[in-house]
Amino acid sequence: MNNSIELEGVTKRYGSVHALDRVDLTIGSGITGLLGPNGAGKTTLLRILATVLAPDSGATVLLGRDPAMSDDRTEIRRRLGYMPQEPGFYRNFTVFEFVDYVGILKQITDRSQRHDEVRRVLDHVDLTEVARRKIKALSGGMRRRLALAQALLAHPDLLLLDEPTAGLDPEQRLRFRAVVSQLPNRPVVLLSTHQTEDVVALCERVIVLASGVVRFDGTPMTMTEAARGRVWTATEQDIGALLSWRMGDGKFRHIGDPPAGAAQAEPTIDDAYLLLAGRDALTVAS
Amino acid sequence: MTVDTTITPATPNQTMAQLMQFEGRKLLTSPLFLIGLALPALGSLVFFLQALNDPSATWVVDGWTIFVGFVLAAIFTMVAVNRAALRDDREHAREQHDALPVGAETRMLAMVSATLWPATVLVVLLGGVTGFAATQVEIVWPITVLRILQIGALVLLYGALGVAGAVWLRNAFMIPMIGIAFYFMHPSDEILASWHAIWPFATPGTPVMAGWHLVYLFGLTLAFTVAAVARTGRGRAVVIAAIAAMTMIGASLTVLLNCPVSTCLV
Repeated sequence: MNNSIELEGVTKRYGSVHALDRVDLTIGSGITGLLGPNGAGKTTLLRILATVLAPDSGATVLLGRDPAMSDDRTEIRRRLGYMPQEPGFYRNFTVFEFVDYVGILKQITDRSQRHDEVRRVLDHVDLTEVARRKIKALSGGMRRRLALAQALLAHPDLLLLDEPTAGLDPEQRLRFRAVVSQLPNRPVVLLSTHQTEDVVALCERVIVLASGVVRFDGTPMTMTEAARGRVWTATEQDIGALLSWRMGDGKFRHIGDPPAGAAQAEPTIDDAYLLLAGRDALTVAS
Repeated sequence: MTVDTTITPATPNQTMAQLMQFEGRKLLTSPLFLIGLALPALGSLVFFLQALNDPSATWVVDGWTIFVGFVLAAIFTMVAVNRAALRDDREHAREQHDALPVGAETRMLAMVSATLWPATVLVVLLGGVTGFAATQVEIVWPITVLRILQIGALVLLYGALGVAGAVWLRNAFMIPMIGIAFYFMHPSDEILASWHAIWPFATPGTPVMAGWHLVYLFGLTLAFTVAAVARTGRGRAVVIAAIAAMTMIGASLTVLLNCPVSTCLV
């Protein structure tokens, strides 16, 4: 069974804005992080992969099938788990009812099998105790876990998670990492996030997208290394730096092209991200 | 880690049946449907008490009051179905559900079909009240089997209209307005020969005419069902259903609008 996604020259425009500009990617099994500032095209890319949005041009092959073909699209959707950036819930449904409903829409029509599956995913995201509670009574963090639960139904081969840890407290984020890192059968997981810590902790590969273009594609370690030699500290702010900030010890940390003799600092993935995403990320950061 | 993740694949009919059951259960517990159900149920209860306590009671005014209650219950059902069909828009859940293998047209068709549940409840209730009346009091105003079925057909018709309204109008305000408009524009002089005569009548002319009225109601139901699914699904089945609906509406209206006065009037 082909468990990969392939994009070739995928372009999507909204008016004159290129949300994605001739993106070429091949992503296989395992967890891939997708980093980028707001408006970089991450959500557009995930929506195309979720088959809810068609690209203007380019070729897409998901799990060995062409989403432009009706039958293929249905088959892809059977094997897809999608957690959108802003998931919607039927607030008057109970937690169990909602996931059960999604289970029917995933075509798990054997009732007892479906209910077992609903219980499994709710247990996975630690929502078993509130299974009979109405969704409108859940906290924001619980709702995000519910969105993850519905995406995990039926062991998807392709799991698309759009900012899944936004709004989660540290404990819930650790639990999320545990859930995603222990998925059986190594599905293709694409994790769009602003949380670089999640990428370091979970992803074997990271893609940086900015202005609809792939700026980096490699491991988190090589991404971090890309910033080596471009991070330095000083007692004064350097106006020539791309970005500077004062740290707890009173020194300034700078990113950019260092002046001669600058005290080099150990780079982090955040430094590398800011360098790679460039002006787009800095606009968001400011 | 490798685990067996085999999920039994479903046929479209199995999916449809499961969705229909799910939506049917939700409809039966919908507050709007329960309010609608309470109207004929209360009317029936009042009649029961009256019939049991008053040997001279007759099935005239009470019967009609209960009957109007059933029509109002059908309108409440329409609003409940409309709200259910609009929930993807209301709760911003369309995107994640569009990424699932069951398409919007199947979901809407299941929603229309789920109206069978409230229709059955109302038909059983009306049948029960009618049966009880037949054993307890003098029947001055009979409710025939065809008329009981017309209540069921009316609920299905309103259900299909509620879903079609959700699909095309995407607005929770319009359907209650349409329901109210139907209520007030309904002919009050018991004449079947009117295109907007969709309610069951106090006296539905001859059984043949009552039958044609049923065909008219089912034709409209099918037409609204086609409208409910045609926005996203335009397969051959939709075209065939549209032709069938037009045929049923055309044939029944031809008969009903040209019926002799003796068979049309009270």
